[in-house]
Amino acid sequence: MLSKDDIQIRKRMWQSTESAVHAFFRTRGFEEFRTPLLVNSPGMEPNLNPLEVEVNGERAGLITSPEYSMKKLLGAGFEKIYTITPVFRNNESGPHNIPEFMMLEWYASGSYEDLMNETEDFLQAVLEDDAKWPRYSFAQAGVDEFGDPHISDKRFFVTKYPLQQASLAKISVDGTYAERFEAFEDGMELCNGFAELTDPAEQRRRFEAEQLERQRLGKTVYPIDEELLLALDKIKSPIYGNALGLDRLVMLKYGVGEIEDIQLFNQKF
Amino acid sequence: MASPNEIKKGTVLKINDELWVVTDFQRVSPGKGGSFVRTKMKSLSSGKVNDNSFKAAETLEFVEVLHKKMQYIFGDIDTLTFMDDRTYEQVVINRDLVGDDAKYLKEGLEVVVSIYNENPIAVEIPKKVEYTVTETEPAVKGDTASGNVQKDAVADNGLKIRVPIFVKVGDVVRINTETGDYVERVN
Repeated sequence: MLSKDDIQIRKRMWQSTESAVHAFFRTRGFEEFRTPLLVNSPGMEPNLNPLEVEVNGERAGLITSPEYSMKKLLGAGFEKIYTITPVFRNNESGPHNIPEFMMLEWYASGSYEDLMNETEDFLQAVLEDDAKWPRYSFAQAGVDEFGDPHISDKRFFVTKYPLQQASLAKISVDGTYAERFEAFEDGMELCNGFAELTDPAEQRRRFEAEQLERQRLGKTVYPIDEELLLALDKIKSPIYGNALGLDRLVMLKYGVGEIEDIQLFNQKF
Repeated sequence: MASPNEIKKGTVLKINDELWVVTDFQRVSPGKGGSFVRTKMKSLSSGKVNDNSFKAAETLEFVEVLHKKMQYIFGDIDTLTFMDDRTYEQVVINRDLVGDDAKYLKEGLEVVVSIYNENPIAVEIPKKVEYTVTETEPAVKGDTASGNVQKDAVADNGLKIRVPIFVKVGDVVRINTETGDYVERVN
């Protein structure tokens, strides 16, 4: 176990970072929410491995992202929302990956450009660094099959994703790219942002395709969250959302290279 | 033939008839894609260094290598000497082979030396190593509210490190040898 002094340092790194996050969003009129960790449909993406549990005899899972609940809040009529929550992903390892980590997600009305501009403001504010974040399209960035961009800049955004990697993003008006972007610093992916798809019919089609793929891979196929689709139907203006790994933000802010070295407790899985 | 998941530092792979020793690797299972292994490799013949990533599902040709547990004894300008604990056999290795990692070596440190065709080709040091702090400014219980205030210090093997301000001379600290970061105090 870590000594009190060491726990104190790590706690303060987190505290300082989180204070800056709250200050940023509150001054912009965002409201903070907590969302459920235990859900029936923890994640449809074929490459994710949710942690499964049994609740009252039924299969359920721990969230891989708070996204579905956040979109239900948007459907209810909230317009600027954010959350800081633990999320869970099985089969995650590496110097920047652990099975339980903290995610910051935020959503508001606006465009793809608004999302990226706001993210840059956010990173500059929280990292206390005015350096700019240049933007490269997916093609310019030479992103390889492992998801690694090949750019020598220290920090940058990768924008304009190919259509096959749209995930939750809308397709651009000219139909040539997905309105999705990722931020990288020191080779580490920090966030994954989207001009969100809000068409329930298209979302249903994407979910069904993901279910087929999960089945093909021999993975658990989760039910489609119908309440989410109803919520999407109620969202009438364009919205954007961003999912940012808070552990990695703390690592960058304090220059710590390995994710396990900022945890308050030693957990080995 | 085996999966890239078997890769370690010192592993030798045969790729396109050339032999490469893995000098660094990272096994990554990111949520978004299949798992893969990122490596830095050095050609045994040309010394050229390459970055390569392999999907976990691929198969690679591994070449037989001996991995021996040894202790660091001492070093001079060009070489580093290690000793096999069991056989007391000593191996003298060129400093170039260990490169920048040599700064983490200290007497008695347990390492793994990879041997191919009776030649040492790689040295793997532990990911976290403990050092006694021999020099630093006095410990201060100062303002750590801002998160991670650090100061310079020197470890018992001469390594220059950065530590939190509460660390004092005589404290034993654990350092992450992959990132160079202070991890924790262990006394």
